[in-house]
Amino acid sequence: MQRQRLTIKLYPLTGFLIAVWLTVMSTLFTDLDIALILFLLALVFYILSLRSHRFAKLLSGRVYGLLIAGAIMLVLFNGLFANVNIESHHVFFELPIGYQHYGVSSDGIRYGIGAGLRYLTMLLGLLGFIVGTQPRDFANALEDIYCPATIATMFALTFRFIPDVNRHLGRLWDAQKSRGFIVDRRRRLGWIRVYGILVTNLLIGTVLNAQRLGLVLEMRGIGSPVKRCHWQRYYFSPMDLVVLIALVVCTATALYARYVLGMGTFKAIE
Amino acid sequence: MEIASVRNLSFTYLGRDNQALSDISMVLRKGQFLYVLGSSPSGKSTLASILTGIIPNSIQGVLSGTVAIQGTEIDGVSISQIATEVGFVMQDPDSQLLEMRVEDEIALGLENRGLKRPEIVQRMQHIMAETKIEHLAGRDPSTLSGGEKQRLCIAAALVLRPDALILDEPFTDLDSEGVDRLIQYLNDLSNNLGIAIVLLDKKVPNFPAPNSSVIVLKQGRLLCSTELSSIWQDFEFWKEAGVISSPLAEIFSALGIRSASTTLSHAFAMMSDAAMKKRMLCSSISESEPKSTGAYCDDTAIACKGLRYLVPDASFDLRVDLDIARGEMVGILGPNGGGKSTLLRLIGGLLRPSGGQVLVLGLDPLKGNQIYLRQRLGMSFQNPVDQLFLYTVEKNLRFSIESSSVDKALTDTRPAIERTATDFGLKDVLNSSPEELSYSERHRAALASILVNDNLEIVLLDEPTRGLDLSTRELLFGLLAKLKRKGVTVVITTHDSEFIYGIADRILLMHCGSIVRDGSPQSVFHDSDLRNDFSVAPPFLVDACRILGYPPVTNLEEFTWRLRNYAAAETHN
Repeated sequence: MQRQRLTIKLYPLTGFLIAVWLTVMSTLFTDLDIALILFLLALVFYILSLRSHRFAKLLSGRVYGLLIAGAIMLVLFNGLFANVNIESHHVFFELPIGYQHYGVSSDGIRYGIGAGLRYLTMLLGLLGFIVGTQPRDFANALEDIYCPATIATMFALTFRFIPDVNRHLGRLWDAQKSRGFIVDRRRRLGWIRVYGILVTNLLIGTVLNAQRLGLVLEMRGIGSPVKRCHWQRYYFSPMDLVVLIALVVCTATALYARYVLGMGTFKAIE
Repeated sequence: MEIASVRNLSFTYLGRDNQALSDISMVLRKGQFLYVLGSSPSGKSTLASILTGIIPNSIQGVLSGTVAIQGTEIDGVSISQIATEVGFVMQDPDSQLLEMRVEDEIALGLENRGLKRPEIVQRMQHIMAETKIEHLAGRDPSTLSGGEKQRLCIAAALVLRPDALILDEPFTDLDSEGVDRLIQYLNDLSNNLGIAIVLLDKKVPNFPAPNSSVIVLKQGRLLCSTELSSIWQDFEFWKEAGVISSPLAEIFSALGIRSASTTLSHAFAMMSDAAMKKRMLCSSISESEPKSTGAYCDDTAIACKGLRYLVPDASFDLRVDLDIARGEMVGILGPNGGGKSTLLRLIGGLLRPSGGQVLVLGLDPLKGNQIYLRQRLGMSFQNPVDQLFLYTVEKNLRFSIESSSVDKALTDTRPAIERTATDFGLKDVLNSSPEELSYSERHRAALASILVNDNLEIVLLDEPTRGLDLSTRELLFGLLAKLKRKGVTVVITTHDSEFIYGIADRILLMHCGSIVRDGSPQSVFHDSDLRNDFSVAPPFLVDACRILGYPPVTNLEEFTWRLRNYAAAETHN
């Protein structure tokens, strides 16, 4: 028997609200435990978004690599330097950099892990929204709540570029391979050349792409004086309601806990 | 009723000395079917850009003369306003697909014009049915095959019901069935709805639309403006204009038929009648199947063993078992979305198989000795733009030489670059950016960037004849013959059976991810069911031989020789 996949299709603005909520909560709470809970929520949201849309296949290993590399950088950076702001210094070991010796404290490492988790929470929330929502669905939903068409289209186009850039990157990579180029691991500088070409081409390609998109949009009548209409209907489902209620309750609880009870900030080990 | 009129139109692109168009006058009437033919660069796309308002709204230059759409001069009119009167389908489908769902792509233009939801849905469903793309509903346009993308672009333009529709080389990515259907559909639009159709191409059509007219451009100048039927078989004229003449016209000419046909079945009937009148029909001349002429060796250059690949968003998996010998020239044909390009990318090591194995020169293209393999394997993509990623043609050629050189101490790449540039007619544009080149020049530069490597043992070409003009097509044919003599293994995917028939040793037919026919070009193309079963049009030469009962011939000269000999033998008897 084929296993049923758990998928949830949300109203386009609900995904956006979840992403914003995760970002706001991640900036409010610096405590490691709460950061971990938020991270797990973001992970669930992201996995469900991935399962909901085929569009998600456009995301590549490079994106995940970037996420993990960023989180590790944050852990390292905070592990090294954040201890200066922490009251008790339980120094694990000292790291010699040049003539200086930097103390790496357990608090610094904990703070770093929290920062890494918060960073991942924000990005997973954003990615979950991006992969789970078609750009034009989001723009149309914005128009439904009387957002001006220009702003809605601007949002749609911005998100539209993400998979485009990813595809462009893949094409450039294939073109280099097809022309006989292969990164010789013994020649480390080869990587610099490859990424140099990729980055500059991506920038130029993106500008040209934007010009082309503008032209095609004009040909399809964008900017005409009549009011835009859209062919799809977007329904606010019971699941959207559940999510919204949960967000409101969680926000209220979080604000109470943070500002009335003073919970959720990072505390050094006594 | 005039839809568009152009009087004494000249245009020079900003920063260029030569005029892209010079003193052009033409009129486009309701329901007219107009072919604009010319080699590259002849000014066809410039003319289309002016008629759609892209010039001067988006592209700058010096424009003189007058252009009027529905009697109103287009000076100062926006592109979006003109788009309601004149629809435009560009040459490269990738460059005009914006959305991430097929239905959204079609609906976009209607939404921007503020149509009501039921009407949008009704029009969208109607056009999807008309262009036979209902099965693509819900898919991401970027995952479609070239032909499917082209059909989608046409649907997106037609759904707006413009008074005129300009199509820039719309047949380049379509399989035989797609071409037939599109021609039929355009004829219907022109005849029944009175939509003026302007079709830009580098080839003379095999089946010109009834009462169609033609304007022929060469280097921005108007060579002639007349009824197409009057010059359909004027091969000298087409050669002078640099336009690829119709292979069907050549066969008609050999059979003494002086009029064009509008459909395939009508063409077959005309051929049969003409042959019967001249007593050239033969019940059957049996000859043993021609042997392929390739330089076969025992060595296997490419081996696919139990190869499997899960094609994203497709209804089938690619499953292939295949051996290609060293020095063999193999053509892969099949309908749009059949898995041809996917197979090529798997062989080229650009995709990872889901199962089975690919071996290229005995090595796995993903895990084997990559440096060894990349020096000996070259691959070109369908779209030349994807191939050229550096800022000048010269830099692109140098990159290929440096990347694929076996000689570690290689310092001077100049001689190889100059030799290749001369061979490919790129000497004058070596310092130009690929963006500044014409489509044909870009195509040549992309091919040059692959073939500049002298160490190639395997060349994979994805639709290399797509959008080529006569001179570049002849150049490619010569290059492939040269590679064949050198014993290089070449694998080509194409819809162009006329081209591949003259050069390939072996034809593979791919359908739904599997190889359904494998044999010499004569044996594969002689199958009369190819058109119906696999949307593959055999060369007209093969059709003519089948109708006349002759064994397959490989070129027109041989066909004419057979006709003469057989007619002479009949007269003698």
